[in-house]
Amino acid sequence: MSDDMTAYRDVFLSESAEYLQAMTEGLLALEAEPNDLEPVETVFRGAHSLKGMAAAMGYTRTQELTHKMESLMDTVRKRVQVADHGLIDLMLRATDTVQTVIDDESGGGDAVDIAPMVAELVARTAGASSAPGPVTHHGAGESARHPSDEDGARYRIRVSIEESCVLKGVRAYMTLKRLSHMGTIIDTTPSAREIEDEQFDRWFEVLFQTTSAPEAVRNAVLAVTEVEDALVERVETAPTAPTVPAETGAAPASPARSVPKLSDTQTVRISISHLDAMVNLVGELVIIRSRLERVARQSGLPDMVDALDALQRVSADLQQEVMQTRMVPVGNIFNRFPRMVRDLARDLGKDVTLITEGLDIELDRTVLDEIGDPIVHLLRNCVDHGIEAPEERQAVGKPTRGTVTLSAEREREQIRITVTDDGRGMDVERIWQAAVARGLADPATRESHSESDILLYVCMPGFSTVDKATRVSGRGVGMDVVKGKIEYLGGSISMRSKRGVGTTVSLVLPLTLAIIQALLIAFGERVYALPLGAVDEVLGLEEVNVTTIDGRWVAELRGGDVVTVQHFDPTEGLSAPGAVAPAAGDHLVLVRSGEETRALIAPSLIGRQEIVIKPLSRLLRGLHGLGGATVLGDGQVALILDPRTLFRTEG
Amino acid sequence: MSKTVLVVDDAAFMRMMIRDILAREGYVIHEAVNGRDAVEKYLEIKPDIVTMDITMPEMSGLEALRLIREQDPGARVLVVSAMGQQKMIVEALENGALDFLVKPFQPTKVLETVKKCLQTTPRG
Repeated sequence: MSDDMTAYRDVFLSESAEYLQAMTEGLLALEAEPNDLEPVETVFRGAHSLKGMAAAMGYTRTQELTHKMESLMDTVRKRVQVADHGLIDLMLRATDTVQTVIDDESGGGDAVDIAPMVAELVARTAGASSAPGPVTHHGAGESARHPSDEDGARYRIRVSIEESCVLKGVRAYMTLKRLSHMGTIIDTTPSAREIEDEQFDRWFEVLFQTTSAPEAVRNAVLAVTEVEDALVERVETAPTAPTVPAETGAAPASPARSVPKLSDTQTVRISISHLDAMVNLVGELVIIRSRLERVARQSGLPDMVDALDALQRVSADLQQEVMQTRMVPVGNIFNRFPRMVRDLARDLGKDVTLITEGLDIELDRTVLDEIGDPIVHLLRNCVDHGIEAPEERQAVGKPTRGTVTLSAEREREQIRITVTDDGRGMDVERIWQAAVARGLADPATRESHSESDILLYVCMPGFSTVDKATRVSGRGVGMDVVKGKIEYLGGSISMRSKRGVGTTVSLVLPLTLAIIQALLIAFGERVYALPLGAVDEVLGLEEVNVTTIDGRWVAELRGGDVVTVQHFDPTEGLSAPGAVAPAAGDHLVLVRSGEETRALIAPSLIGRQEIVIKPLSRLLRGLHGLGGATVLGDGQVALILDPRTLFRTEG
Repeated sequence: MSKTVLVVDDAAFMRMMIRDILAREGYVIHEAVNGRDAVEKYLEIKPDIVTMDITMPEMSGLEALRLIREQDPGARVLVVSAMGQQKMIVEALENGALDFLVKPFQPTKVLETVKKCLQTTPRG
């Protein structure tokens, strides 16, 4: 492969993936609404564009396969046959094959045999023409006008449209339509999509293959109203030189003079490792900055403090920018789920639609990468255990097709991801009994547990091993893993369920992982960082009334609320709630942990600082109450207290 | 023999404009006020060409186009639309409309387009 080719390959790969994704979505939409012609066009055009792109890259197998897919979709488009489940299934499998072949061909391989898939596609296409369904007005005989790629000569046609034309895009569309009756449109500049969106000035170009004479081609184009001129120029049919595809998508352009300028591009592709390195460096910068601040304050140099203020602002901006570059829309992973849900539902003999919402909500790439598996797990649970079989749904008066909704919402510095199904729901009492039976819950405490508390027992390790007969809802399988993952990411999970109506699982996650605001507290020699997100207030002892209730130390706040006082010691860990009284000079930090707030005794407050979270080593991970570590300004390592598990004494 | 044109538009003003432009050139004009009316009049009159507005009460121009072409695959229909209806124009073209005009239009363009359509044989 020439150097030029290598440069185009990356663009080809990412763009072809987008096309395949669009085709998959189109096929699923078509399956839901078989009479909707719009997805048919999407799939047809996708196959068509891929064919042109593959031809330009010299990927002959991809080209042939997509050509056959295009032909099959053409029969649907012309209503020669309907897109039944069999056809959709075949096309979906064909898109999978295309991806495999692209991987193979782009890697210079020759391993994937497309013959079986091509044969299937051809058979289904031919099956259509031998037994035609309802034929629409413009369908009859039209397919005969499509010569195979090997027929005829290739031309480049430059079409210009009158300046006074109001809807150039539609005129161009009419031109392309007319040409498609005379031969095969191999490619256009700009892409067909852009042409139809009127993203061209006065003219566009078509790379065209036909058995018709060039004069006839020219006359056909000129016959379109408001076409000003058409230049038809013969080109060699030898493999087309690859060209730079336009950034906005669609097919590579035709060769030579019409190559779109690279400088038009507004985006660049950056490898993920560069972004990760940038975050690390910015993290270091934040640490060094705090160190300098410390030095400046100790040595009392006012000029330096001023300079550091400026540095503070710039580094904050830089950090903001760097974090922004790492944000990606959740659609990137959500988009692949409808297909997965469909396939899974079909395997299980169920009828399920997945609705996705909030696709443009952005999330840090590291967080996004990590939540893919948990979401897959939740969706599988919905389809497998939540949604009933069609007969069962019918029997209880529900629509036979179940609905699963996956949505993302932004809530300030957090993102909420919800998975909702309209299935059979979970049985709270049976989960409680199972939890008691497994020794996970104390039967005496039933009253103090809310329904959503009880549902969370299915996320406890050990619950999922309950065998089939007592599996309750089956929700338990793997939920402990999901919960663990979400909590590791600094998120939380909650559930709601109503028997016979459905279940909702919500995941709340931080938008980003790497840098947070924290309160630094010294416990003796050791400094701990407490994420500011969990801190409600920091109070001096004189601001509260410390007293005892039933032998427990509590702090009565000004508003009248009473919170339990909590003592923490680096070596001893947590004492029992309210067991130790605060000493003179201590502060009380009101920390939220789940539903509960406690007043943590802080012997010495160091202050507020931005910290870069470094994951804990394997040894320390999972240790109670700890969420990571960070390096402070003076180079000292501080452990980060994890407010979610901080007050839990049972583990 | 002079050609007959069925002018379909719910706005009397638009019908009048097209009528004036075409009548001067010797076309015989019939009018219809919505899609349903257009389908009925088409079958009754069998005009050589129809100018069809898209957005109309009762029945849209797109629906009328489909019904007319279903009854007579040789029907010549020219859609007339306002700006910004690109999608609908494409849909009309997909459904066998021969060409389109965008309002507001110049008389010469109307004549030119009608003439061109009359020279075209629609594919049935």
